[in-house]
Amino acid sequence: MQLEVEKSQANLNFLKAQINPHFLHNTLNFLYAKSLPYSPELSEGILTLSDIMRYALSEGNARDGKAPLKDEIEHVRNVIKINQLRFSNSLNVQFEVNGVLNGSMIIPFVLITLVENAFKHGDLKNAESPIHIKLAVDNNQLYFYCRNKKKTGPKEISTGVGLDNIKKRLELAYGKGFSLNVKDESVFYTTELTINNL
Amino acid sequence: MINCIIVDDEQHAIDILVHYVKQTPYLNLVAATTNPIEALQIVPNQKVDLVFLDIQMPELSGIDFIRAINGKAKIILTTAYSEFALAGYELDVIDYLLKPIRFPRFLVAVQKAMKQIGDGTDESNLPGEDDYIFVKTESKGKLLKINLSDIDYIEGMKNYVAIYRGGQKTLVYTSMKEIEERLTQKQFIRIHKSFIIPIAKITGIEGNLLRLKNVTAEILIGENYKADLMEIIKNKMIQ
Repeated sequence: MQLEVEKSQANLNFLKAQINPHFLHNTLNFLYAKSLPYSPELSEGILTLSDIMRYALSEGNARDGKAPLKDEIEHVRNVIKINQLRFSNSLNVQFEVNGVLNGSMIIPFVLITLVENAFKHGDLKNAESPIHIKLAVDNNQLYFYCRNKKKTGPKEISTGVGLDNIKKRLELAYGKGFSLNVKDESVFYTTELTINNL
Repeated sequence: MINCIIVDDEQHAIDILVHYVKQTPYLNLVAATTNPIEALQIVPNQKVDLVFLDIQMPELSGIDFIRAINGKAKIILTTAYSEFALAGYELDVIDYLLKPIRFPRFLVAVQKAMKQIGDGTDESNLPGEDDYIFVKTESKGKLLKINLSDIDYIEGMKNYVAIYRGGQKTLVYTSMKEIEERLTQKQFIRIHKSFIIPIAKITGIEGNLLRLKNVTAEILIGENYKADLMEIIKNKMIQ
């Protein structure tokens, strides 16, 4: 009985995840057309949402399970951008990229998961403590760092699914060739990811 | 000029492309229709060079449309989702654009089309494709590329300058003096306090009025500028 309930729930979840991309982007195109005479900010928001959804639904343009690092970074920038639009550019977010990306590939959606976690649980408007995101590539080694001051007040519900999922996927793809350190302190939350050989 | 048409079964998708085409030098919009069957007639009858073509349409798919026109015009596909893109390449299209389309991405596709089609203007008289300027427009932080060969004429206003191209007016934040200094080397001449015109597009002069190619209005020649203009005309004059 329990198994059957779980199975039908899984089926429902699968159905819920079926977004028809044609429907989505044609609808966004309609909204974009209507927004053009009124608000450049609205138009830009719609275009950015479209880019984000296109990338998310494309499974990161992945070939052999990996996506171009530059596309992953673009995706992170778009998600930051749309959050800034939503909050009138008042979010304190720093994103630095160093090194030459030059065709590097990475398994998709790892970086964005870490960034989305920071947006979900972080204090986004603190002038002294920005969300600090750093990414560096050196000799095919990737270093990624994301640190945020934790939000006070009611906690967002956290399932830990995102983090567990990327850990498993990193293990499958890179074996022992990576490290993911999560430091959950009283005030700050820091994630550091190193992949030795992209 | 490249003659183009837009075919899409959703009117608002057409509206966006019309808006983009009007901002783009070298593109002359011949027609825009939600009916691909009607568009099939327009292509051969109106010397269409380029079709902006949706793929998913109920009467006739974009793919069938391409087969039907059989190479009579170049194609830029517009689609909401990229799964058809590969089929598009097999059909030898110039580019495919994903909706909603950003204007800079649209321009990239048009540049590709221009390379394949050529602009059809007389290169010996008019500035070439590489002769262009970048101008600041009304929207803050936005730069617009203007090909000199597309300029019909330029009119000075109070705090800005209006550049007319194919009946369309673009407001630019600069002075007539600035424009004059940049453009008179490039076969333009100032004929009035408020007007700068491309010499090659003069079609007639009558008293103090000058007529231009593609412009219905007659342009006034200022007294102080007439001598310079006549000096240039004199070289071409048969007595």
